[in-house]
Amino acid sequence: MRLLVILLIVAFAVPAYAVISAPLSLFWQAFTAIGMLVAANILVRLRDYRWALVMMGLSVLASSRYMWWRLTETLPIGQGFNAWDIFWACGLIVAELYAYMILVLGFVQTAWPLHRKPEPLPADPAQWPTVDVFIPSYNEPLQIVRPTVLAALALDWPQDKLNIYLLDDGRREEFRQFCEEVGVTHLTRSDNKYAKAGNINAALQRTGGEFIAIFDCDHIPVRSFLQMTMGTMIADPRVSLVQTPHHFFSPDPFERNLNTFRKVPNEGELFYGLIQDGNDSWDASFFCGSCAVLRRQTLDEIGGIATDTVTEDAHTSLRMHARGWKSAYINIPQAAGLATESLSAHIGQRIRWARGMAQIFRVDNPMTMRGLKLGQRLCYTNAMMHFFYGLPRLIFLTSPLAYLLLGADIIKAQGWMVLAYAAPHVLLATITNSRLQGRYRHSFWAEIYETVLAPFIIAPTLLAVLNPKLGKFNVTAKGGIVDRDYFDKDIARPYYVLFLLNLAGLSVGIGRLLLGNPHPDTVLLNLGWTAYNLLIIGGALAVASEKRQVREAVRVRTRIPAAIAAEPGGTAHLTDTLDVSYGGAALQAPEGLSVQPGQRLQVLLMPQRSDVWIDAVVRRSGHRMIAVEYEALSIAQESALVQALFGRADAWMQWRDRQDVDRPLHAFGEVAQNGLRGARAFFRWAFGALLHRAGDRAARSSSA
Amino acid sequence: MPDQPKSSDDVQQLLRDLSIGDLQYREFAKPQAARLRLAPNRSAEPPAAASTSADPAAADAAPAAPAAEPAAPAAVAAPLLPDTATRPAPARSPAATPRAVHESPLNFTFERLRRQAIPSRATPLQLDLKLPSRTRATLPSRLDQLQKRSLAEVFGSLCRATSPQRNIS
Repeated sequence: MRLLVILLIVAFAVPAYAVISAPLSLFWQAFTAIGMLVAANILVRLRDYRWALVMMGLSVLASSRYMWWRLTETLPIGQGFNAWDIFWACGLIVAELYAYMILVLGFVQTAWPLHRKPEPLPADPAQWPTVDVFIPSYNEPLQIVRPTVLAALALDWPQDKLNIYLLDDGRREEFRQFCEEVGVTHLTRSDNKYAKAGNINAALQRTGGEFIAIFDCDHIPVRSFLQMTMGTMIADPRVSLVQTPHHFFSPDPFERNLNTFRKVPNEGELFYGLIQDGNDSWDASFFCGSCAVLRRQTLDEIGGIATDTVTEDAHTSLRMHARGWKSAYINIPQAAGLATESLSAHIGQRIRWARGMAQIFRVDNPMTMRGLKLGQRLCYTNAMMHFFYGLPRLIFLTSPLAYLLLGADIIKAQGWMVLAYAAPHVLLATITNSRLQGRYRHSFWAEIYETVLAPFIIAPTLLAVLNPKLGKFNVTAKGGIVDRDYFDKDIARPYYVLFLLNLAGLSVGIGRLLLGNPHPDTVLLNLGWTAYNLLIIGGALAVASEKRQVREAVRVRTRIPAAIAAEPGGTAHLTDTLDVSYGGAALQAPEGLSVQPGQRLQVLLMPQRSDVWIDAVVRRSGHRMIAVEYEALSIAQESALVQALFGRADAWMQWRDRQDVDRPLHAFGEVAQNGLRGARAFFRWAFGALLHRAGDRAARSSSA
Repeated sequence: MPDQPKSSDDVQQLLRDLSIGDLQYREFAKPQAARLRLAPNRSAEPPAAASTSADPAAADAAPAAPAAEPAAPAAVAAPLLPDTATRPAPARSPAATPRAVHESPLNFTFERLRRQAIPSRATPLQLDLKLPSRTRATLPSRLDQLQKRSLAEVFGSLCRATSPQRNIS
């Protein structure tokens, strides 16, 4: 078998080498580029997934050909070039090599997503194993944690085989009282060593379930979670981890500030929608810290959750894989949580992830670690390398300025030749990624996501590579509220510096073009690149324009059967909800029921499953809609609300189906629109700040 | 929200509909279906009754308010259907015929459609208003005298009726 694989590789490698390295004139290269683009446009229309593999091959060929040409013919070495040119050229070529490596590794990682299905459980529930549910918390407010605990209590699993533990590292009295009230175990420890990992490890010492289900304290499980995941564990005793997606029912800062919630897939959806499914086919699904079940035996074997890095989850699964344990990923949302509210909190969380992955890269490098299979090495390496995108992204955003502003020749080639080689490389990668990832990441949106985070993750990743012991665990803030519209000028500082630099480059470039530059094609190429960069940076500026959250509690648009009674014990009017939150609900007004704002009534959610009425006050009525706000909830009422809103098995399953499909040109239009909006917001803020400052100065001088 | 599918929370049905494995789902916490006394004016939304059981005692206590009955299983409901011709017609809209408890709206079958359609055709709407019996306002002996009055006397009596003396007497 191995020989056959080697023979196949050689059989493909020889002609591939010929295609990649063949030098062509501008005419023939342009001809080849057009041929490749036509082929990609035909292939993208073929629904059979095997054609997507052909597209990957074609894209890799186009990109390899471009890289070969760049490395062998375009480096500014020799007469007419100085050290300055070489410095800029080296920066760009390193960034391009990085992007090429990520592209190829990404294709390998997601070549054949597994789409694993839940395994059946033994017919007799007496044979089902015991499960401990861990809900670690440190400084989150109780109202964030309550729904998670109440939903865990409603998990469909034999009650004598299910134990729920709230791991309270904050050692708070109100948490203890709540646990006592609802009947779950409140676990604390004397210190906070190793943060979340240490908290879980301390709980492992004091509990005894065969399996551990872990939920972050703001990730609320649906009632089917354990039955969906545990079958896989029981069917194969070598499976140590079953991970499910992290789903968010509130918009993250990108979605809120760019108004793309439930229209454009969010930043994390590519990972949970496609990459983890791809990892699963290589037996390399990672532990993501929450919404997962782990086998206690494995945790005991590897010494518990890893504590050496700040991304303890991925590190733990890496150690499990190195010991020969398997993992599984079930791509069915079985829990949902709150996304980070503000851009600064979001960036803080991503910095931790980036730093942690860089730490693992140093501490337990997957390419050299013993016990891993090749596929696992590649998947983990790609996951870690991904977080080094900060520097390459900044290089791409500034490279054309080296030519336009500083006059450096960083690519030793004519503009048309660069276009003939680069166009198939960039466009084929875009079309192929759209074919593979379209449901989970729209084209060009990664540029905005990466641009926003790039300036902030460069230093932490580089420092973590130099010294993995630097820094400490920072808890992601959740459940806050953005109470006003504002431009986050501190976060946006790197974006507007980049924006102004590119604007200057564009102006100088236009000037050079109008004054008669001897290489107008090169100037035009760099101008086009700069204009594109301006749109992307504009998108980042738009993300930094924080939008006010209208409501304190996140409303989930969902149609749940409900009943309304105008008075306790009175006749019931059946209806459906329009949206529901933890603080209130909007319901379709039933015929024959007339209510007035301020009127008290009762609402029953899911009458076929629950008989707990919730007291509420009408806040608005009209247009066939009644909006109510709940009054103080008892534990039973709160539990009924949690089960109806968050605990339904179908709560999040078809969430993705309602997003728009990716159309690259349309996606580019959206990105450009956001870019222009961001630029406008920036100018408005900048002029406002200048006028304000000038006014202050005038007032000071007149008073003096 | 017309595009939004209605939640059923029927996991087994969901597994079948989305083709996600052969898992046989077990319910451990028995759902406590609410016993509702439904409001009368709800003909516009008949399907909502599908998932609701009603309290027969409450229905007896308030006959004027038509109440849903406990849903019969499909096997029992079918033989009862022919009896609807001989039994007294129900004093409620057939549109309020309850469906089985916990039956998923996704679980559409022609049998269910038949169960809903036949009673609505077999038993046309009959209203029993149960009004009190009429009583006479005037004695028969006095009625003749009243009818023989002239128009002027009638108007005169009307004017007197609004006067304070009339009220006192």
